[in-house]
Amino acid sequence: MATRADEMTPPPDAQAGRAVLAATGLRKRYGRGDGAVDALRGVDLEIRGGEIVAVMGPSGCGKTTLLHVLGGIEPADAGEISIDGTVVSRDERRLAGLHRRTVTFVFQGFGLIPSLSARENVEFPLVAAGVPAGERHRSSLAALADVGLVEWQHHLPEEMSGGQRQRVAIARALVPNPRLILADEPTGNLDVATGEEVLDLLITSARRRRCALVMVTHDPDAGARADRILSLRDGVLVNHTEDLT
Amino acid sequence: MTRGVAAYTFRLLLRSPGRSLALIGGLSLGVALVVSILFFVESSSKQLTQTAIAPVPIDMVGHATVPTISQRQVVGAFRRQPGIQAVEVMDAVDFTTAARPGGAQKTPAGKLVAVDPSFFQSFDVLKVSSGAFDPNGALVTEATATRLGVKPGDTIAVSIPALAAPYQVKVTGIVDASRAQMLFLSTDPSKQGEYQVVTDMVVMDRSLFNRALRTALLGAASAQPAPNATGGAPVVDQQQLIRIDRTALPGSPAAAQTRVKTLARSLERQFTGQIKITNNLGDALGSAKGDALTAKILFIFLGLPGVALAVFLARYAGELYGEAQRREIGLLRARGASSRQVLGIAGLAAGVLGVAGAAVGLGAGTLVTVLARGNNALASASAGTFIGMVPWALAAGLLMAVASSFMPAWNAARQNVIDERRRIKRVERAPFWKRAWLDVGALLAAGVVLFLLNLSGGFKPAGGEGQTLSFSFYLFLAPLLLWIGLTLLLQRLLVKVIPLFARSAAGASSGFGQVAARSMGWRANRLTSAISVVALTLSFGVSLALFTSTYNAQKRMDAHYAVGSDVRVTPALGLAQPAGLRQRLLVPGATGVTAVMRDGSAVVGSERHVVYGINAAKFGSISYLPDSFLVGESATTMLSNLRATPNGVLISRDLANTFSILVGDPVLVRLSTGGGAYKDVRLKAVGIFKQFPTSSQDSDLVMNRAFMAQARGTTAADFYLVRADGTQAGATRVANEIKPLFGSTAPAQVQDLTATLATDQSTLTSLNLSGLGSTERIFTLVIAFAGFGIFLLSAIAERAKEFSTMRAIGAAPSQLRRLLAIEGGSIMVFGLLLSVPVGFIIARVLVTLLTSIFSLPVSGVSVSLSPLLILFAVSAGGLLVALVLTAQALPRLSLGTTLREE
Ligand SMILES: Nc1ncnc2c1ncn2[C@@H]1O[C@H](COP(=O)(O)OP(=O)(O)OP(=O)(O)O)[C@@H](O)[C@H]1O
Ligand SMILES: [Mg+2]
Repeated sequence: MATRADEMTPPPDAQAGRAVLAATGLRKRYGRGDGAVDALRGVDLEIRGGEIVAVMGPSGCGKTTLLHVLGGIEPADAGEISIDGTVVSRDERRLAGLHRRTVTFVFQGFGLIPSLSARENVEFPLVAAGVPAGERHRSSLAALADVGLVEWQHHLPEEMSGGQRQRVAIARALVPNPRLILADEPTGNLDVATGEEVLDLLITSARRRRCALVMVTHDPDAGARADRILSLRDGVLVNHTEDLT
Repeated sequence: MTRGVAAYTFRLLLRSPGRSLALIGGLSLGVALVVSILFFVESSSKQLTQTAIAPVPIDMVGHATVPTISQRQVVGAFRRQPGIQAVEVMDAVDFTTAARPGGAQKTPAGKLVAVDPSFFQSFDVLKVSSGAFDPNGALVTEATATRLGVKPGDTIAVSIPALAAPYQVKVTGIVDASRAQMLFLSTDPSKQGEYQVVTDMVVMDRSLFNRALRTALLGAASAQPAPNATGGAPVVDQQQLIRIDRTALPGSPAAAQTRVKTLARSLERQFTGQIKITNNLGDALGSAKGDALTAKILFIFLGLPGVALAVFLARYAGELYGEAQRREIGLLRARGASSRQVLGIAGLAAGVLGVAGAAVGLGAGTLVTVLARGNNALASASAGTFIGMVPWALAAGLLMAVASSFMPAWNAARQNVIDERRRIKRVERAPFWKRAWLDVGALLAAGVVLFLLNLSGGFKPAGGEGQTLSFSFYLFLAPLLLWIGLTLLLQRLLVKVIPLFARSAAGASSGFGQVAARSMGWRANRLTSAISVVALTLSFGVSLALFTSTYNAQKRMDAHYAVGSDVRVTPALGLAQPAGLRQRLLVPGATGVTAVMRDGSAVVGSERHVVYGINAAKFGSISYLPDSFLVGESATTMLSNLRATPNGVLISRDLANTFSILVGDPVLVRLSTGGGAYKDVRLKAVGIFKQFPTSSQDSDLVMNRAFMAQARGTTAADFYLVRADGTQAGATRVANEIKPLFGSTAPAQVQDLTATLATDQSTLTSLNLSGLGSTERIFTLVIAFAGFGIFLLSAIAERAKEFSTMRAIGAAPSQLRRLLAIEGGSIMVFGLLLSVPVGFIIARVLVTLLTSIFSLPVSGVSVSLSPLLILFAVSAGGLLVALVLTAQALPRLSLGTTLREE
């Protein structure tokens, strides 16, 4: 179990200062005409290597939309996203390719594939990336070990508790060695105690691997553990200079 | 409230248009199948009518029962009757013999007939083959001319009992009377209703007849008040030959028969007690009537599995929206609707869907019929045919709607009530059939039915003589039960086998193959449905293809059996045969000729039997004699045994059983030597046969021709078998080469395979099933395509979340397509593989039904590969297209939305 001190360690390496992901002028509108909703209305942000950022804001303010757009799940209507200084938002192919290698997700509902065992779930991103079987096997076992679930590797998601499932999801997010993990209310479906553990695991793992983490949360305690909090209101960032470090 | 129900129903149907359309699509598929089967039934029923009436040369014959009738008056009245095309008068008188004045040659008894010159135009039973029909002379038949050696210009003397002296008349021409068999009813009381074969005829103009003979004959008739004292006809048989307008006959044999019977009665009524009508057409249609019914049942039955699959598909499609329906019903009930109202809405919705499905299906069925069988498939269909189809389409549509839409709603409504009352969650219970082991039960029952049918000889034709085959309905029970049993058993097994298979496949693979295998094991239920639909649909196609090819093979075998070889040549009875005939029959294309003797009135025990004399050395290579015709021995062995035993005889199994004859036993046979004389021979049984080529009776004997010729004191062959290359085309070529060998002087009957196939006696065996085959091939394809497509689409819809997650965690769209392709491909391969044994088993049972139609027993399924390969190629193509089309839905998944749904 990671210690508090451990995670309070500031971003150590030289890369820390450089932006893993930068976005400018992001806009996203759902629907048309009168019923149209502007979910994002010009968002600029920068995520530096290894930093832990909490995104907070009231329900419906566009947090999920922001994560989806940053992670390449949904295209933005306007604005630019660059990863490691390369603009990816203009070319869907490159965007997808770069994104897949650099950014991974943790969902509120775990998002495990029900027919696959814990290890196979963890392996999936490597399968998609075409990693050879032997290496896949080693990496996925190591990732499961990181979340303390090696003995559960052959179990199906339906045989595991919510907390265990989210830990598998975290292992799956870690296994491709991403530069950035996007987590949308990772503890939202868990009880308080379990949520605490899972959050702990997520933050320590990210820190240990010097991987940036952007997590949406409603929990002020969780926010308190981040390096920085982005407050989103009606599709715009307010106060986004707030830096806890 | 009723209005409320109606309004709500329509809103409900419109609210989920996808569900309504899917259901209508499935229903219309089933209706279309029913409709195109009905079109086929309609046209084959018409074909049966045509086949039945085609060989009838004279539709009806009126016989005067009193000598004083006025032929002119009768003909006038008949010609005025609507529906009659031609009426001709014919007066016939028996003669005892005809000869040249002073000549030594005499003919046997024959007929002198008098007709008007118009007779030759109205009917083609008599054809002037040389000379001319002259009012001052007479025509003689080819047989008479040959016997007496007369030619046009000669005079003959005809001896008629009622005349004091033979009547002398000049011969002006020769008439071909080979189609005149139906002109004379037999006068032998024991052969009542049968036709008399008359080879010797004198045909003269009625004006001459009236002038020269009528008074004398009718005078004789009145002078002898009882001219029929010997049981014969009146001295002058005054007939009216009637041709009706056949094009106006209804298509179905039953309706056509009713029509001609009514016509015959109304003709008779005009001359009550004076005219008796023999209704040749009516009799012919009578035998086709039963066949038409059998064909109808057979075709409908053959299509039934397809209809069942369409219902399943409709239901499956509807179920994709089942959650929506359950929600709707829950909502309705929450708003206070009573169970009755809910059911009313569900019922009305099913009704609307059923009617819509019927309407679309009617159109689609017509379209498929045209596509499968060409434009002229409908050429014979009238507006009445189409209108007659409507109630069937409606009934089918509504029934299927009840099964696919109402029943699930009803279940859901009941479920709702249970939920409310007990507040328990729905428990997944195994379906009823599984708990009751209905699948195994149905298979066992099918086995029992088959066993009982075999035991009671149920596949044999019911009547001995009658051409009408009365199928017992429970013949169809066996394949029906078998189909149900196999369908259910397949489900039971697949659900068990798929996870096992998936597990080992996952163990053996890695990467996306493994992911796909896991996913298939996870969805064993869904996969079972999909594989079952594909497998059962294709097996439906396979079994039909096999059934059709067996039917065709059996048809060819029957024709081969009836002809005896590729071509049979039967010279006219009792005529001197041209010298070296056998050699001359070896026309180009013929590979062998053998002469066969036939004694139709030999006596064994106290019964008459037919005895054949064959050349055992050549018979095997020329005739059609498969080993399956023989008991215990091969054809080669049995024929060489016969050859080695000069007085050997092969006897039919029936005869052997009747007289308890074993191989090696002596058999006493009285061979007829002509003129009522007999010669006793002592034969030795050397073999037993079940069937023997050329012999349709089951109670015949076959002996060495040389021995028979010696015993009977004649070497004349009764017919010749000619071998071509065994194909229809070859047989036709050889037959066409042979026909010109026989001039009008030595007529012969030349039978070949093709002609025999075309004019087969039992109309049921003359049907062309290829139309049915191509129709049902289209449905096989459409159902497999739709079923597979629906499965894939539902797989994507159900797994939208999963696929979206996969995309979000790194899978490219092409990789998801690969995943879908692996799953779809497995369904395809499993479906195709399973369809072969299932189709084969069903076909095997279906072809047992053929046993009662054909004269030869059906030994098994005849596999002809090309239709099967076409079926598989086309189906695989269709499934691939479905796969490619549905894969297009993958990139359209809106990831953002699906992933937001927590
Ligand atoms: N597919 C869509 N069509 C229309 N509107 C949408 C769609 N998806 C999201 N929205 C709207 O966009 C806005 C932002 O949604 P988003 O899911 O990003 O909110 P959120 O901040 O994550 O809220 P929550 O805390 O409840 O998860 C909301 O008003 C939502 O209703
Ligand atoms: Mg959200």
